[in-house]
Amino acid sequence: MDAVIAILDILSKVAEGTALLASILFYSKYKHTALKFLPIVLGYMFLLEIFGVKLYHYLDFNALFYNVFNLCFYLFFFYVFYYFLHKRSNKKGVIILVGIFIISLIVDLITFDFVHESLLYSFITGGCLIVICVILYFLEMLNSSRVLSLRQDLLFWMGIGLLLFYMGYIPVKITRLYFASLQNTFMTLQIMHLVLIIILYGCFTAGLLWKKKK
Amino acid sequence: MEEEEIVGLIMAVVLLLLVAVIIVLFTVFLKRKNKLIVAQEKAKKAFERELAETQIEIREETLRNISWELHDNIGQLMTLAKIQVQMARQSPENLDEVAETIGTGLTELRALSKLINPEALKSLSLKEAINLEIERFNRLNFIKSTFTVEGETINMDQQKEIIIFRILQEFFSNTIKHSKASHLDVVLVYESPCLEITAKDDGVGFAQDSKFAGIGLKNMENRAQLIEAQLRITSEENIGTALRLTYCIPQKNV
Repeated sequence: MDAVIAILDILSKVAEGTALLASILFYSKYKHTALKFLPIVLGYMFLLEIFGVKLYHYLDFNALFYNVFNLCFYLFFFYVFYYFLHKRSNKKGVIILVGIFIISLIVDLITFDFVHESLLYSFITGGCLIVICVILYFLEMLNSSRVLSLRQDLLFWMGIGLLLFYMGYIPVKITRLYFASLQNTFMTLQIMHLVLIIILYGCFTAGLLWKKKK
Repeated sequence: MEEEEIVGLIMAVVLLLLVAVIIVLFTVFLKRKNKLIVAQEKAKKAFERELAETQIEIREETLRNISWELHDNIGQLMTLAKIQVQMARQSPENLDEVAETIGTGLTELRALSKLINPEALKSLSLKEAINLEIERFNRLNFIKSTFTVEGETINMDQQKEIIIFRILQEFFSNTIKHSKASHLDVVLVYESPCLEITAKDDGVGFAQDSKFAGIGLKNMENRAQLIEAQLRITSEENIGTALRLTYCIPQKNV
């Protein structure tokens, strides 16, 4: 099982690196949209993946960097969906979702130590809210002619990736809380986590490759 | 149940859920895409049918106009020349006048032949086509007409221009035949990506429930709808009728 995890770990890092590289190479395809900050978010994520463990050895903590990343990641995607959703009611919906996310973040800040512990409630709430945003975007797509050019729609691919990742990872995260004592259990969950990361960034890369330049 | 088994079960459920999500998404999007393609094909066919019909109507109107022009303008000039030639028998010094009349006739004939050349007609822009109509109205003294263009011309799809022209032609035709108007003012405003056309006459107007308001208006409205233009025709009895057409070039999603 260790070998499987090791291979998946390498593959997940390759998927993340490829997504980052694609976001830089094809920046001109989306630089005029709200996605213009994508390379920064992916760059931060990639650096964290490479140096996260080293940071822990050096500083004795690294949760702070992951918490900041999750916060940036969620806020970035809320902004992206707010920008790409056309219906007024949906835009208002995203604002309400951001409000809910901020409330969960406040609860997290009261409950957990932001520097030394991973935030839990805001992570799970944020994930669920991103799934709602994706569903809203897909519904809008289905009711417009955008459905005819699915393959070239970057946010469609990102939406698929985010939907699958959070629908899979939120149960993993919750399960980890209660059943992470056994080594085998931990490994099963780790495999699932890595597979989901590969799917997420694989979708990002596919979207970036297929998106047509405007 | 052992801890390991519970986790395994949860993961199996999650995996099944993910697979189900992928299948549902694939099915729903594909179904919707196919439905939209069929609808687009249908709309395209309807548009092509309407376009062909419009082109036939424009051609018929052009032939009618040529017949009018030959009869009322060139025919009159030739009749005048004939009379002048007969009179020139008594006073040959008037032959210059005859030559002048025949010259005017020839000029009109050349202008007409240029106008009905299919190639020339095909390459006309909407602005040029309206201008020719207005010039014709003034030349034949049908109605005193003015044509104003504001803003920088936008390049438009020629098929859409044909439909818009036919809507206007129908309006002009109604003005000349039924309105008893003495003035017709046409204003074309280009404001990228939109085009706004206003045509106004000072005729007798019509009541909203009249025959023109029924069939004629419906016809124009259907055509406007076909190209996703907004059309509004307002009329007040004894004051006049006004047409306002707004067409915006569809902008692709950013």
